Amino acid sequence: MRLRQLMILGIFFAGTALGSPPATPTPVAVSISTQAPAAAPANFDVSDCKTCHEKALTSFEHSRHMKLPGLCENCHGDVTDHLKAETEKGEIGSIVSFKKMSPADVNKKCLTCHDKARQADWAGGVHDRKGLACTTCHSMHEFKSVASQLKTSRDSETCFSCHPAIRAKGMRASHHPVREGKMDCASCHNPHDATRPKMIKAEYVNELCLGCHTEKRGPFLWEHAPVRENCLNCHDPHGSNHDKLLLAKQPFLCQRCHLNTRHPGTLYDFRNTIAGTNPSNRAVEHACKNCHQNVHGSNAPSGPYLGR
Amino acid sequence: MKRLLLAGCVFAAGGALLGQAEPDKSYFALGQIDFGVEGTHADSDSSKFREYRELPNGPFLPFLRLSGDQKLRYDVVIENGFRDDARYRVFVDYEPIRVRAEYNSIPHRFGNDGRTLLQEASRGVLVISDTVQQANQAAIQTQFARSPAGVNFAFLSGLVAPQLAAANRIDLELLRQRGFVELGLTPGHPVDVKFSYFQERRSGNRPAGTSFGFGNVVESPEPIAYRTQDLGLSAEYARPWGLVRGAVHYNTFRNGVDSLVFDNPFRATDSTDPNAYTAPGAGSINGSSRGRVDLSPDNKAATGSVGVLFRLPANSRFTADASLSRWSQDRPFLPYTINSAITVPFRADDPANLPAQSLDGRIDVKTVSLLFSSRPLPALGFSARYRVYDLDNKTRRIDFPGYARFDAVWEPIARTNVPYSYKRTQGDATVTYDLGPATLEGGYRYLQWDRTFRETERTRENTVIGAVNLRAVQWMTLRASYERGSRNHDTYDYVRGEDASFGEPAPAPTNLPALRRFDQASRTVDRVVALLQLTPIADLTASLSYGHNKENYDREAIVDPSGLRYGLVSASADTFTAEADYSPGERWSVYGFYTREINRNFQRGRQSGAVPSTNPLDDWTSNVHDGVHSFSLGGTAVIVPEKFDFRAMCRYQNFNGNNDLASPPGGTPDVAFPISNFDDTRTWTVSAELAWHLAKSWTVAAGGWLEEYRTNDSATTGLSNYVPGSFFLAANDGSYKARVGYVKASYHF
Repeated sequence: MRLRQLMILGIFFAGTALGSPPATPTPVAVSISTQAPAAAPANFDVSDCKTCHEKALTSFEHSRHMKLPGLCENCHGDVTDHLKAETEKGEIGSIVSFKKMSPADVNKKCLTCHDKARQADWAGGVHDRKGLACTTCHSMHEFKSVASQLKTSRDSETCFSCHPAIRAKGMRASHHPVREGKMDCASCHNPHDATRPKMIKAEYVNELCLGCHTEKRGPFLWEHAPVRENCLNCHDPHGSNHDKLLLAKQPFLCQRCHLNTRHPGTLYDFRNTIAGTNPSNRAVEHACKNCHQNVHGSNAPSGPYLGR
Repeated sequence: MKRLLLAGCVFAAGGALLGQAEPDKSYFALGQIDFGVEGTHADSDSSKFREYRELPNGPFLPFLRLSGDQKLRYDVVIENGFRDDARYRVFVDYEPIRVRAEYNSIPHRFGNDGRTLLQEASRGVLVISDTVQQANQAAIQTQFARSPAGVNFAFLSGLVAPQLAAANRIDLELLRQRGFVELGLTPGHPVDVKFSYFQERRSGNRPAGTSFGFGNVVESPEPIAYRTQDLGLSAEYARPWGLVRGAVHYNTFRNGVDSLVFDNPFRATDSTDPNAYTAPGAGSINGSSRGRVDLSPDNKAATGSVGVLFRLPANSRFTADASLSRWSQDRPFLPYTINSAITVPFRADDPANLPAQSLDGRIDVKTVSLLFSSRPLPALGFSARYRVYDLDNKTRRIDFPGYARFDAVWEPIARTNVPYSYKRTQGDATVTYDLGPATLEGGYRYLQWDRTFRETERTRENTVIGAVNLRAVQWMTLRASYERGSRNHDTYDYVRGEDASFGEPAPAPTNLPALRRFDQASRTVDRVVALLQLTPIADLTASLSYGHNKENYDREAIVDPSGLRYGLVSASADTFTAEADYSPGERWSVYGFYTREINRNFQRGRQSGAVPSTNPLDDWTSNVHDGVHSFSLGGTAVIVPEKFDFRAMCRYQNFNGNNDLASPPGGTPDVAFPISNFDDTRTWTVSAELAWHLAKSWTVAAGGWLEEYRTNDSATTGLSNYVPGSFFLAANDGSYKARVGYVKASYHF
């Protein structure tokens, strides 16, 4: 595996070294929107703004916005008036400052170009209703993330600033690999979406889970009804102190629905734990799942109790 | 071939993108490469330390990025290069083609150094030496002949102890290798067409509960050889009036191992008797020499979706989306059993005696989603949603005359598979009104489930919502909301589900009649969320938040004569967080948070013998109380400008879980002993790094972290390989204390 990765990277650098310079570079025409922004004055150059706003342009110069025909003026309005007012009167003039705009106005400005794809369903969503602006999470000038121009290096850091309970759950023993950087909040959620509950990136929570856990999709010969209906009946995807992100420890979780005669309804207390006087295979390790392994569904003819 | 294609693409991209061009104002080429040496030490072999990551002893490449805009725009990011937890991302924009690709390798380690008598003979076949099986069977038969009661834990433990001492060791771990590529064919044009391909391979093993019955659980390493592929095509046509979108996906899951066969440590030959599912013990020493469990069957899903969005007058828009999916599965059935001794009423190990050879399973899913949002006045907003998720399980029903219980004995209990279906309908409407600094919000939401084959046919939950967003002053924002939900069901028929599955004559119902399953039971839900964000001075941001969630099932109509409710009775979670970030200029900054959580849940059960008990003295209650403290504190400091930086961070969580079990005296169980070490866990990490900016492009940093994970879990801590009735792998995923140190250089260009 590693050898293959090394080879690929080696080939990449070889390609880099061998790449011949183009005779005449041609600017790449990038069209972010179907609605073209206002054209800037012919003599306008972003370096004029950089004279005073160098820090603001350091990252910006490497962003896709740098390709916009109007550059700063696209979002900030008449920069020539600003320059004139600044030099002649020491005032900012008619320049548009996003820090002074309402969230709705900020969003309106951004959606001028971005009202499509993932952002098309922003209006009416909970983040819209809570008065969040695009600039609450994103920065055009000082972004830190690899993708999406977020103000933080990881999207989870952005989300946790308003969702601290989720951060605490993510610190649990059983968790998805978000804190390890292998998943992001955006792996499951589209924070711009208004159409789906909890902004998940699927038609329903089970379909979201089954996107990665396809082995549980079935259909199975023997189905487990609450599993088919809602993964969240038993799991907390944000983190849990119980095995497999379970909402509660087995056997007690199972006993919320199964108080049948004999062993399902039996009390398993401290005596039946490992440190107790009578450890039971219904209370230790995987408890119920020690025998009912195929709890998500079984395709075995002898699996009506999900044990085969 | 695929590797060649991949290499070719990367080569072409590398060659083209770094072809040096004449400088243009908008052109750039940037890069960063971090590399160094890392050393790691842990005081135990717990898999938890490396659960989702690889921490090497030796050279490492934590980060590499090449980005630029020359003849094409590109961005290549490598994290944890050439490791099991590597992540590679490539973005190339070369009009009119836009390519986004990612490879993400995710290890998942479940436990190290597990011990098992089983050895892999071939993929999915785990065997025990015939000599061991024969010796154990002979010893048990001798003991049984002498005294059936003598076949007990002490005897069996003594029998297997030397075998376990010499048993195989195994690490339980899984590796997910996820690759994704998306090709944007017409980005930026009115019609945006994208083609995507995803593939994930999962390989390794995981602990599986495989069992020969009540008295002989044999936990085994289940082989994982999964492959998931998804092929997608999507298009979006965007115009000023709105957009039209659509997508199709074809997704397949393939399991390289159909079943898991595992030897019985106590039997070398097949046999059966009515009590064999309890063997080995006083009741029986029979059973199968091997067991077999079904592993996840191959399946596939095809999905098509269409949608339209209209931008309407008065800042309004209407969105409608619909999708149709079909999930199917038709892998051949396993025979009833692998036990050749089960020959009555027929040879149960012969697949010809099955009533069907495969399921031909099919599920159709239809979804409809409508959204209308409007802001007719600057101060007034409105939104309404309606969604239907209709899962129709069209799998045929097959009548089985019985089943082989744990491969030990034929049970002539006729069963029919039950293809559960449901339709989930939900709608909500929200109105917001701006009153200057405050925005008020009111809403209503309903959720209705229509189910087949379950205890209820319909449940409906109505929720009212009130919220306020307050920004009275520029430096303070308050967002608060309250929800109150109420769910009711129609007739609760506690035997409906069982009736659907058991053939005639149906056995007497065994579940407690008074039990209400929590996913359908009547309940109320109260939810409070409040977040106060403060920016009293430019350099300081602070926030306080509180969350409360309570589900109360005390509205359930009672049928138990004692007047008590059974199953989950209540569950609540309260969370309080204080957080601050102080950045007084370029020289230093600090941040931190503290979160306190209190989680409670209460449930009631009743212990029964052969028939459901009606005696309240047989009740028991479980009152779980979790108290959690979490905090983090960190900061950065510029010690010498443009020379030395320092950053440090600590993170801590202490989880104290208790299960206060109780049972009234006089019945069965008569008394209950609480579990104080229900799931106690403490984790902390302290890290620090000193960076020296050697030159404009070079930085050298030295750092490291200390980390501790302590767990005391009643179900797993101290588990041995053989406990009454069970062989466990007892792989180590427990406590550890570790330290990691590194020196790395970073080159920017």
